[in-house]
Amino acid sequence: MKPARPSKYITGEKKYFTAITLLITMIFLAGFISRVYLDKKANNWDIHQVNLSRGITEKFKEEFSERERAIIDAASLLKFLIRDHSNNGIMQTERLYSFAGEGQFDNYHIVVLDSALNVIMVNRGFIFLKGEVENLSKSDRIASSFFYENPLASYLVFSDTLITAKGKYYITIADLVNRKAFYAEGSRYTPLGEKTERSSSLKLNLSFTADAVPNPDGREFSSPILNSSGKKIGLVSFTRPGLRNYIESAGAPVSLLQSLMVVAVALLIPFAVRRDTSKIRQPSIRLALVIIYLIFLRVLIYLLEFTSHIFPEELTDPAKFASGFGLGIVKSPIDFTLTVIFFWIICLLIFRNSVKNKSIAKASAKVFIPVSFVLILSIFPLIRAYAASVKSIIFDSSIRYFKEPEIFPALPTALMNFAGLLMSISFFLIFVSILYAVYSRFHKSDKRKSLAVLILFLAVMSGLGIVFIEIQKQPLINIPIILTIILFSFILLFLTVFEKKSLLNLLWTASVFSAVTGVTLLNLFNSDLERESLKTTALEVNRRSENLIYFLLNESLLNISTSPDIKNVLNGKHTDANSAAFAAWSVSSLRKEAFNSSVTILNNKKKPLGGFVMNLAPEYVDPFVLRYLDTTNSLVVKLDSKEELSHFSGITGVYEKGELTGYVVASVEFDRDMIVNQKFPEVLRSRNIKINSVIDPQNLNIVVYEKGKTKKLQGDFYPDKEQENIIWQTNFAGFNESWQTLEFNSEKYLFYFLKTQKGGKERIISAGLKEKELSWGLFNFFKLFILQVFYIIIFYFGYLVYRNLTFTEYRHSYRSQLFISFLIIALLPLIAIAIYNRMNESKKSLQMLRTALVEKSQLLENHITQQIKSNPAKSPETIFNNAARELNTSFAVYAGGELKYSSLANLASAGILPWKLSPRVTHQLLSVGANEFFTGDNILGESSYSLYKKINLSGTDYIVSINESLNPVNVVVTVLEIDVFVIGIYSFAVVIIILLSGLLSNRISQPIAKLTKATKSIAHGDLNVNLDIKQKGEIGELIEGFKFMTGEIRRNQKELAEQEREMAWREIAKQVAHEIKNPLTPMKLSIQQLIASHQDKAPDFDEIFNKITATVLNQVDILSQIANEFSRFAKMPSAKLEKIDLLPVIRDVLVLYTDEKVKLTFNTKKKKALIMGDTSQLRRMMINFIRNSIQAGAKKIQFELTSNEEFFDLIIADDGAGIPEEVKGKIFNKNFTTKPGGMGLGLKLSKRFIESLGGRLQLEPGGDWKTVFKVTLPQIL
Amino acid sequence: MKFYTFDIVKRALFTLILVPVLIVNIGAKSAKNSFQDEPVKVFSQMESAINSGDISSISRFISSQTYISLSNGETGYFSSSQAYYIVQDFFKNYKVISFKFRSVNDADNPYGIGSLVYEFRNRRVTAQVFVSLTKSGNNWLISQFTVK
Repeated sequence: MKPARPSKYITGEKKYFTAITLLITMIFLAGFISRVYLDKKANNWDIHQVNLSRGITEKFKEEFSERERAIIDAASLLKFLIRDHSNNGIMQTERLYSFAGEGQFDNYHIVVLDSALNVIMVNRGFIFLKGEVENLSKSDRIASSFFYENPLASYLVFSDTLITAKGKYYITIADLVNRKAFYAEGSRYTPLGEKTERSSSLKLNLSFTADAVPNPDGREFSSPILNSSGKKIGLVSFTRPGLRNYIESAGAPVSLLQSLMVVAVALLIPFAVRRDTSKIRQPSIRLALVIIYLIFLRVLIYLLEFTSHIFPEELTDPAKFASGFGLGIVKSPIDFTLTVIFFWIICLLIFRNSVKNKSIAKASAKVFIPVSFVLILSIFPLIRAYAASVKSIIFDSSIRYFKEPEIFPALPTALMNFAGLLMSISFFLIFVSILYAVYSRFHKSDKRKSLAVLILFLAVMSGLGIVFIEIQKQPLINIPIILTIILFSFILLFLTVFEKKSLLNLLWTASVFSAVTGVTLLNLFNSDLERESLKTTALEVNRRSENLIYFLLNESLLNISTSPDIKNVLNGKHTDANSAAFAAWSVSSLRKEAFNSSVTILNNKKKPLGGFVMNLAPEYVDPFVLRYLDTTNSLVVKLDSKEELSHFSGITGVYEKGELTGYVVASVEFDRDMIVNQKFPEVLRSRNIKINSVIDPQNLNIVVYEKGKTKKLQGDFYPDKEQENIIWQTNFAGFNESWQTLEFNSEKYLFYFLKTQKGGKERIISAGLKEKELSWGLFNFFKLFILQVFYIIIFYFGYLVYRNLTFTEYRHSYRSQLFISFLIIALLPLIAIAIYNRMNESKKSLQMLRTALVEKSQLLENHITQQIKSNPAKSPETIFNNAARELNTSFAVYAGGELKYSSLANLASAGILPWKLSPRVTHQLLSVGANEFFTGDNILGESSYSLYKKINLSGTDYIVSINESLNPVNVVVTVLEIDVFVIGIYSFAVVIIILLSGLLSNRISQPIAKLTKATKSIAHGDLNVNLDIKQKGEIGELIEGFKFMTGEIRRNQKELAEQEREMAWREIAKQVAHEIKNPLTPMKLSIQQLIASHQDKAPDFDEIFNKITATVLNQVDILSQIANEFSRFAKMPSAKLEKIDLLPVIRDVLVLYTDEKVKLTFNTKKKKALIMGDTSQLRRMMINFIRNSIQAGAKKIQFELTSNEEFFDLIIADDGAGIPEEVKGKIFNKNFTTKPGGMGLGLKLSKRFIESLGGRLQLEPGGDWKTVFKVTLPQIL
Repeated sequence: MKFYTFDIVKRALFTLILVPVLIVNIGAKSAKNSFQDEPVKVFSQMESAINSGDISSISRFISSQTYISLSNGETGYFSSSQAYYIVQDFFKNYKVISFKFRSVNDADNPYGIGSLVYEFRNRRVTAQVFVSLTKSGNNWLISQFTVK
């Protein structure tokens, strides 16, 4: 063989090393270049700062233009839709609303006026204040964008006109660009300038008035905001970029690039060292190296900290999840997921290695016994580690997995669920690996015995599991759970060992088991969390103190006094003081802490201009005392204190350009024992701040104990005297806390007690829950199970689609066709039913809500009617107030299309409730004549439903509106519960269907698959196929027919072989006889002639004698030659021994088969292998082995030469059909053959030859190969 | 069979183990010390920690009983690990220019009120800070940490 020419391309590992070198160079180069670049910028910073500022302004202008273009396009589209569909020029109201409901207008507020400036359409709550509507038709506003501000928000507005046959219409589209007040969390909104702020890492200051002027302070850079007509409509300002900030932000992309390149280098390392690592024989060493590499890679990704630059903030937020494990390697949802993915890969590799190599099972008893002992015992701490990891998912997270309102939750929750599932699967893989490593030593071909051993093993492990739980002081899990984990692990072990399932099938089964155990554990720990959360409840009761109130009031006053809108009220630019006060209050701590509180704006003479009050008595809103105290600086005073209730008030001056323009007063009611302010509207509560987000607040029981007084704050539990004494005598130990179970009304309550000191008085705060409310239910289980099953199905079907697209034999296989058919038949109707049920149930839920609101409205109407009957002279306001108070219902009343009354007067005066009724409502109730109208609504960005009802009081028509946000309605079954029920049950059914389909399709197709395999074996010449299938019906007949056919072929072949052998021997015998006869005839004639001569006493007898004996001797030589020839034909010739090098002999033989369809490899580290041998006989022997392997169907044959001190070992291994157990002992016997045409001499002669050289020929156990021969030959040293 | 690959393994292991192995650390934050800190000392340590940006020095005062309310919107009770990383993240994003407690009260329910000046998006902001402590066993823990 000629040596290969060196390639002109860099190939093999060299290309990876080259790539690594290039990347490392680029890393340093990037750092160097960026340093040089930034230094250059720093040296010319002044110029660069200006350019940078201009660049930021340009970016903002682009962002603004984009928003402006969008609303102009939206207006054009709306005009087109309306014009195109107007029927005889009449603008149909419902049509208008249907256009406005189009997806493109979802983010906009639309107002349509007719030529008389009547509002004929409003889609999402009226944003324009009274008196502002007419301005929409002004010529300077038409076809030109402008900013509109109300006290709660700022909008970018575009107005246009539409002329039809019926007249002129004004269409206004407004895009929310800035919120000044609190809006419901989750409502969509993109502030103007946000994109620019993110990209430049700067905070922009936007003024939405045309007359805004730049700050004379030179630190700010300002630029006017121009609309598409070139008119100034606002101003954008920002603090000039600082050099330090610029260097940081400019350097960030370079750092990110460098980090990515470092990771790329790390990813290339395994390819670069592949050749070296492939030489490592020990699979466990290779595995250890891979694991170390994966750990290294994960740590590297963590240290480089670029996940926060790539992934959205919600995934990198430690508030969602952060565990202290591994010094921060799981400190956010994305970090946790990445770590789990690496962990999963490691566990998968360990599992595969365990199944493939069985290194522990093969070890000697001295090694096996202690190792297996350690492994078995290690399973239990691992189970505990598994449970601890799941516990961390619950405890170290603010995600309330069981309280998410959606069935398919937000991204962080979905990711944590996915990671949790993957983590469970990883642990199961580890458990099975350990069990397999130990069990495989005892697994024999006798299935029954092996099964018995397996069951015994399971029993032992279960017993140990129970002991493990019992010996722990604080077990994380209970006995049923550990037994379930052990049982599932053994089922997986059974599938691995007995059923020899493919890895995919095992993973599928492991996933389902993991989902079941994982969700069960999450549920269990959630109950633990509920118990722990009683602690935080008690802490929350104790958290607020007067010190905190002083702090919060001071801080609120400071912030409110700097509010631009407050300043605008005081300098006369703003007229709506109430709304401005509400806006300031809503973003302050007063609202966030849900205090009954108020904010009042006073002018510089301390005269009130307006304010916002939330559930506070008038005397505390603007207390007299503050008018008379020196309030040059901020001042906070305690107004009064009665037991738990205190009132505080504070005042601060508002200054503009150094001059006092007015004051702001903020007041707070502090109820020391208030947990949840029941009077606080739900729509104004911060979703994130909950007293206890774990437990349903309605289930909480909170009692406060003081000497001589016990106060129930929440719930139905009230202790008796005896219980109170027990509580006071409790030993609170060093941490001032204790736990107790108390009974009340035959129910057991679990309580947490916290002892505190306040003002020298001892108090015990207790938070408790009924014990039965701690147990988990099927609802909770299914809620998470659905999601995890969803992940499993996505993965499984994704893999099936991939297999179908890439593997045609899989696509066309009988089994996959059966499987897909079963799935289609079972799943399609199921999905259809599920969708139908879901749609119906959603409608029902909405219907129930409507019914509840209708009932409220009916009660309201009856109450009002009754009041009028009993006292017709009562004013409408009094009537409405009475109704609101007595029925505890919040409602608004409209007359003439405008708001006349609201039971929540403070919200109405703040402009939160619409002052104008939607034209759609008036159209339905007044034009169409409906009695009531149920429709979607929007309060502070939160979508909800309202019922509008027409009532007539003393001849005047009113429209009453009741909104669900302001009147929480208990729907019997929520949409979430419907989803869990429908999807939960159905997903469970889907899992069962997939499992059963798989089992059935396997069962039905298995005989066909075995038959196919058997046919292929026969085609390769192996007639010793044994089909052990017991089946009835057509398949059974087919199999019987096949077996019969195979038997016949085998018999015929044997007969044929016998006949051929007989014929061959006959031929040889005939030939030999013929050859022998030839010399015998002349011999006989010669002897006869000799006898005759002797009898005749011939005179030339001596001559005749010599002649005849010469002839006879000649013929005997011929006979001898014939015998020698026959002998040589029958046996191998004698070896010619000489010193030879085995390596070229083997290589020369292998070269003979380069064109064959079999892959031959030769592995050795030896440079020379000197033995005493015969080259041609060695060649013949190796050819014989290769021929045998090919005839046995081998695709790969490996020759491997190693040595020890005295001998060479040549291993010849193939992956052919293998040698059956029953004939292994006979293969070296003379004339023994399994091949129909075989002489039965090959192996016998090879063995004899090797032994003649002083070596050995043995058949070795297969392992990874089917047949392995070992030739041992003595070395020449 | 000899262990031929030892050289390669040795080289590979040496290269890979250069990076410190961080995984084997269960509950990795510094353990709470049991020595008693005076409230004033605790506030002083907090001041230094916030000014230097090294939150790990006050991690022992943060627990699952710490109520956190920060100006970036993070509010509530968290596990001790979460609380630590939330506070750490906050001070990473909101770069501290200066922090000082302007009043400290170390009575039965010690608390401190201070001013924090930080820079966020090139803008300098002053926030008010409220910290209260509670005794748990022999240790003082932060019961409330508010930045508004």
